[in-house]
Amino acid sequence: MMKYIYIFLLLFSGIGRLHAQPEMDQKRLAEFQKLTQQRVNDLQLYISLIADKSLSIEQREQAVELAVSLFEKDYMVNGKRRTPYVQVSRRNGTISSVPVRIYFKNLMNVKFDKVEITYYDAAVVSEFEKGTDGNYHATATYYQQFKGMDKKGNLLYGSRDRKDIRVTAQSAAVYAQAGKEDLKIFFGDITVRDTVPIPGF
Amino acid sequence: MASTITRLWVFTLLIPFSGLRAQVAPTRTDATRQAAGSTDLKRRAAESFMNGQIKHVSDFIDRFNNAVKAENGSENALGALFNEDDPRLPGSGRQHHPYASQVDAFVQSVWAAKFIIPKRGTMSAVIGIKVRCDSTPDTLKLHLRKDYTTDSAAYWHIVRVIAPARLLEEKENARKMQTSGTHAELPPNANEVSFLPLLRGLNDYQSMAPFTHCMECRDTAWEKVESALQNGRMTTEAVVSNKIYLVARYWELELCEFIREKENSGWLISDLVEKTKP
Repeated sequence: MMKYIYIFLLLFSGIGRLHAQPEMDQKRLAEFQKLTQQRVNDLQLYISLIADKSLSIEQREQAVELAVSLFEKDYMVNGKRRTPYVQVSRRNGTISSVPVRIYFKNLMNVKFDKVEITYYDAAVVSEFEKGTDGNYHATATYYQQFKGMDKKGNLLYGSRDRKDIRVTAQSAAVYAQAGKEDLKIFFGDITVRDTVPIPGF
Repeated sequence: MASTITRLWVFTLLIPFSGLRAQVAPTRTDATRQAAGSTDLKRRAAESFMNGQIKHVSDFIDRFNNAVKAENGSENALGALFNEDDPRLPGSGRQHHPYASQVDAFVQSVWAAKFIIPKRGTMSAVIGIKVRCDSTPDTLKLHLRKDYTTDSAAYWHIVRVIAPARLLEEKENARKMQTSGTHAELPPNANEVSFLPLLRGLNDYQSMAPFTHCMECRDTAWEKVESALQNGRMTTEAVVSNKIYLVARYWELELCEFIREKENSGWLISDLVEKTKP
């Protein structure tokens, strides 16, 4: 008898979880925005680590992996999981698009002896908007200054650019059912706009 | 037995609340961050242009609507939403242009009627994609529209194709192609990153079909481009232009993104079209 009661209770206790994706209220979406800003801080730190030539190759490679882990894994194509793209627009009109991993690897392998990256207290995250995939989408924007120097500290290259990152907040229902955390932020495609060369370069 | 059943009912009542755990993601820790503690994250205060720049289209809509509702300085706030470097607008050494009168008429009509731009209103885009067609560089223009579903979700999709001239000039009809049944919807903020999800999708699928949901949009130009994508004659390289169109009552606003280090930058009005009043 008790066995049947347990089965009955367990079966019916799960029904409430089968409803459609929940609508997020404004308070909850504001939490997503704060969490996104934390993730942007993480990304900024990883980029600084990747570019820091005083660190070991292993540490910088680990920073590449951590940076890539912040990005969403797209659909399977030819047996590979694709990561998002970075589109870089230069002032001279050239535009290039590369996968995020290659972008970070290129940053690791820049030819300067010393790299200095500075961020500004101007990062903003747009309001989240629901997509047809049930996830919520926003855009994070921040500004970054990059300086590449030789051994003597002479500036060889410098620019200040703006980065826009597509952000996806994964549906809470999916994660609750899988028994995992329910706020999950992933980054998507990035556009990098080369705004201004640093004076002296 | 009775007390056991009571305990079980209490247990059942508690189960739904188990879903409330982990409302906030746990704090991240990682070895690299600790190992590389010597690396300081250099930060500076924001510069004035960074705060003034209109970074997202939703930001533009907020600023427009706030300007409309403002008791004082509404006209100046509306004027600040236009690209001040537009040679058609008044400025030192510039001759009067009919566009300036149109802008004045627009500001006056907004001020008089106090109409705002709805956050989920009509939004469309025209983008230029740098392509290689038979190894020759060219530009493919795509018209996209943002649509909304009944459950408040939003997505972008292709509604019109302007094929590169070399394809249009070909007299042969495009060979009938097999289009996959794949249906892909571009995220609602794809416009903020120059429609990169579309560029990646065109590369991956070698087809526009997943992003073209309306069958009537698949005209001759669409078929010619689709054929060229499928047989490898055309490859996409980069998104080189991105214009957004918003509707504010009887006006259509064209927005372009101006990336420059001044407060009048970001998403700004680059053109206006007065639509026929019903």
